[in-house]
Amino acid sequence: MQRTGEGVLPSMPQAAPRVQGRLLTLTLSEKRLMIHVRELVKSYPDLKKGSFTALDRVSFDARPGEIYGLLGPNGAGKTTALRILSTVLAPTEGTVTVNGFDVQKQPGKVRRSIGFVSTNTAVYDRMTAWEIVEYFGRLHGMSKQVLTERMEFLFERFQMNDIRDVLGSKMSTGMQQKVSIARALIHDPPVLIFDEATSGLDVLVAREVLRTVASLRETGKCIIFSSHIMREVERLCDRVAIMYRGKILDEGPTEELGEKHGEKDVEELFFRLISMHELQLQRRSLDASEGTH
Amino acid sequence: MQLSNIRFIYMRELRDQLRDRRTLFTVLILPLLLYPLLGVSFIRISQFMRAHPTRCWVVGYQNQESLGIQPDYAFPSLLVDDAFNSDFCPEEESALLTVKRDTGVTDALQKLIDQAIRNPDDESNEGVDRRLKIQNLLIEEQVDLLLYFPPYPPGAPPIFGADPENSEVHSPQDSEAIPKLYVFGNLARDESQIARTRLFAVLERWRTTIVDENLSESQLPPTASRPFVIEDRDLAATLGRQAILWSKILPFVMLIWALTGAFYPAIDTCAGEKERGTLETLLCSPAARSEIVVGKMLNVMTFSAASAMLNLLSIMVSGLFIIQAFQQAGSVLPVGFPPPLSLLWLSLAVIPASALFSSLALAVAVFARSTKEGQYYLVPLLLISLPLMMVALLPATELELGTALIPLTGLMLLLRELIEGEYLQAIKFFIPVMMVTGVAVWLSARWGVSQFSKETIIFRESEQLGILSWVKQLIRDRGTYARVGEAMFCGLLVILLHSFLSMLFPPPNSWTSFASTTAISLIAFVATPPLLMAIFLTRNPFKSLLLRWSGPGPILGAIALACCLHPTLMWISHWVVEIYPPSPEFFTLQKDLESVLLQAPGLWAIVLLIAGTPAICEEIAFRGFVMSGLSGLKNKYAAITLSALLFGAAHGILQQSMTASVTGIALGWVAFQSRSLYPAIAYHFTHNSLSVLSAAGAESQAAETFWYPWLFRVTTDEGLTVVHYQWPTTFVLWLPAIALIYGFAKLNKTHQLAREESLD
Repeated sequence: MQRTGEGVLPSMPQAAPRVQGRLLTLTLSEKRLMIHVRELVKSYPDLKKGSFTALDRVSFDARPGEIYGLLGPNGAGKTTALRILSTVLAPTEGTVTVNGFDVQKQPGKVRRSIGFVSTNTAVYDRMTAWEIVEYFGRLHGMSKQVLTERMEFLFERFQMNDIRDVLGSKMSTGMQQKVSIARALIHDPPVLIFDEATSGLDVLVAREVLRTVASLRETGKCIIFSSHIMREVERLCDRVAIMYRGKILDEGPTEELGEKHGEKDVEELFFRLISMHELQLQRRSLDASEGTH
Repeated sequence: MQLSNIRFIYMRELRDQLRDRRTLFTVLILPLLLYPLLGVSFIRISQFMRAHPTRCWVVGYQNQESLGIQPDYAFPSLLVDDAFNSDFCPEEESALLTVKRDTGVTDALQKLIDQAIRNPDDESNEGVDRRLKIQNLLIEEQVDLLLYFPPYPPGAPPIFGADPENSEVHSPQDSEAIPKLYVFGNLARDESQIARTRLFAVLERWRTTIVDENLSESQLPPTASRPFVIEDRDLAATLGRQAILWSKILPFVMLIWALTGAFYPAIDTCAGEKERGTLETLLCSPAARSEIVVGKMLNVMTFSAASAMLNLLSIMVSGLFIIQAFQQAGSVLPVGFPPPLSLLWLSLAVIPASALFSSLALAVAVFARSTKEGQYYLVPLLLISLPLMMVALLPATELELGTALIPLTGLMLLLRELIEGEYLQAIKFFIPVMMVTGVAVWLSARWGVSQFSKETIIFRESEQLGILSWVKQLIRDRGTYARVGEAMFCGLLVILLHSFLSMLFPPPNSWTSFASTTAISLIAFVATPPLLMAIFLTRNPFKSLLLRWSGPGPILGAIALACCLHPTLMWISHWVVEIYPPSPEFFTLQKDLESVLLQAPGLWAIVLLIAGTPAICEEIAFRGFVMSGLSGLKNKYAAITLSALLFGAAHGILQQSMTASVTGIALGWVAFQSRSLYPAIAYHFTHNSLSVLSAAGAESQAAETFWYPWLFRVTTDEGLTVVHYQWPTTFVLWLPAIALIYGFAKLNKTHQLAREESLD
């Protein structure tokens, strides 16, 4: 595996000892858990049903230097799970820790440990690329000098120097996504969350984003990557959780999942798991209705 | 909260808004342009109005004989050549009221005029047609009015100059014999109205001169027709006179622009960020929600205050120029220059006003999912605020305790007093106004922060609201206690029902009617709504109304605390009455009540009615349902204070409400700490009983005993007996009161009403 060299993002000096060096000699299972989700439940109030369960006892872990994929159709609960990881939403039940910090008890520390990139590029229209990245750096408590150095590096790395003074409203979607990634990386977080980060991007920009994600793994970052595009997940992720209707149907390395279910193709595997789940649900409702009679 | 984060967020928001053309135009550029433009337009229009000459067509006037005046009387003529006599129409007026003179009259015109005189209110086609013809004639002749002198009947006896003995006119009853002048004009046209005003002024002067001359001829003094002259003398200082209009305009402008100035930034910073997706990114940053809200609120406040101040400056500077322009033109305006100190008062008041509107606008705007939706939500805010501001503009509205306690109205009236230089009046009500404004700002800021903390609001999806589904949900998702919204609704409902429906009862004229109306109104309007709501909206009405046995300790403690605090509360009540004296109607009502109470079968009946019934009914409502529901705020002090304020508001008389609110805090403390309603009922009963008994004691044999003067001092106010506690008694009782309050504090150290193990 390539650890240094062109295309690899070096971490900030203060973060480096933790993720580099010793980390590289460990296997995935030996590394400490960077993300730990257990029995996570998220319910929303619903006028008709009383409550709607968006996440139903979801559990997964992710380690440094790993890309963990959340694969599922729209409404599967991927975004809800990621919003809980980023402390934007509170869990109804279950425990979630990020970098050892509890999302409910230490939300501030969790937010300092993550970088979040979403479908929506979330770039301020009336701010320049430089100002946007600088703003988030300041919110992360970075000193002016460290921040400037880091920004110079990121703008160089993502070839954003041409758009330093371009307002968000004048940027193309690709440019906006670059700024968004730079913004998420500014404080060199150990955890990165990409929520449908390639959705709506053209092929070239999407490919660039995927390359960036892959290069970030090489620096020891723990990456959660959610997508509904099977091929992306298959190519990029070390382990995958297949989500459907708020549940994780199965999870593991893509090869292992393929062998377990006798499907080499991830797309086929996905449809197979969903249809099995639907079948189970039908059986349960049938049993329940028979029981009542 | 980290100040650095607030600063970064504030600076970013500020920069963002300063780059937004819409905000810049509405908040900063519009005020700078609006008033100078309005001022210039006003000057132009008024110049046009003042300079617009009018023309009067005088028909039939030859000389004074036209009025039946004998030629040998040297009365001044109305017209000299083809203009009004300068004795009646000075030169500057004469230039604006020219004359077209026709001594004779054509037959056609004569016929038209005669018919119009004979049938002034003829609405038939013929009459309308006739009026139209005269109107057209005025247009053709290029005149605005027609002044018609009918020919004096030939052979008719003269009015003036004849021998008074032989004169036909002897008394005012012979009004038909008085010569008439006719003025025809189209009052639907402004020019005609202006000409009419000018002509009437000229004719009045002419008439006065004729009267004076006539009196002089008859050797009568001028007082025969003018027994007195009215001379108006204004005692107001020039500054005060000049301030009166500004004192109404400036606070209104300040408040309306503080509100409008908060709108756009609030929508853009909340709904706009949601729309652009940047809000979620910000929420993922290390900045806490409270820091984000405060940063945004400060930004909205900056624009709100800047907008208000720019508008004020612009209107004052424009006003200055307009007044100067008019003064230079020699016109007298009923308004002077804005008082210089007004800017200071307004710039101080703009801070709480902007803070209030900014937090309200932000709390409302965060609910919206888009900027378009945000605009809809902010309209109700404007509709609620406007009447409160308009109340202060009404001529009869003055700064008094009642108006001082109305948010915005009180602030506006306080500013009015300050601008008019009525500092004593302003100081008197400064504390209530600032207290209400401060509470409103605090509540709205808290609301803003809580709105931002609710994920159901930040990530609100579109939903279909059905009344039936909503009612089903209310019943299905019942909790142990009422929800905060339900508790507030119940409190307001009780206040409304108790205030309005109690008016339906006739004023009690006997003990029986007083007892029945008091009991019915307390049971039906105060206790029943919370009881029904507890049954339908909570899982366990007993728990939700705090009807759990607390043990004898808290009950005895509450009784002792009520005894210890009663003197202090009575003193507070006296102070309130002294600072804010009640109306004479209040004393009349009290006297009526005293006479009704004298008819009671005994003291026990009065205690039962005035102490027992409210202690149960009001406690069920305000501590039982309302405060327990408000415990959902997760802050017992907020729950206690809010329920106490609602309890105070339920007492109809304002002075009574203030004392009741303070008592409500003690009641809330007892109920919350003991997690039971019984100690609160015991406290309430003891408090009211002591009030009844101390008043009754003053007029009984007890007052004769040696110990009574040690405890009480009796005075009379407007014929009513008032019992005061002696100061030493009050002070001595503070010590056990503090000990008891501390004892209650140890009972419940949490902000919850339910014990941990019994949480549902």
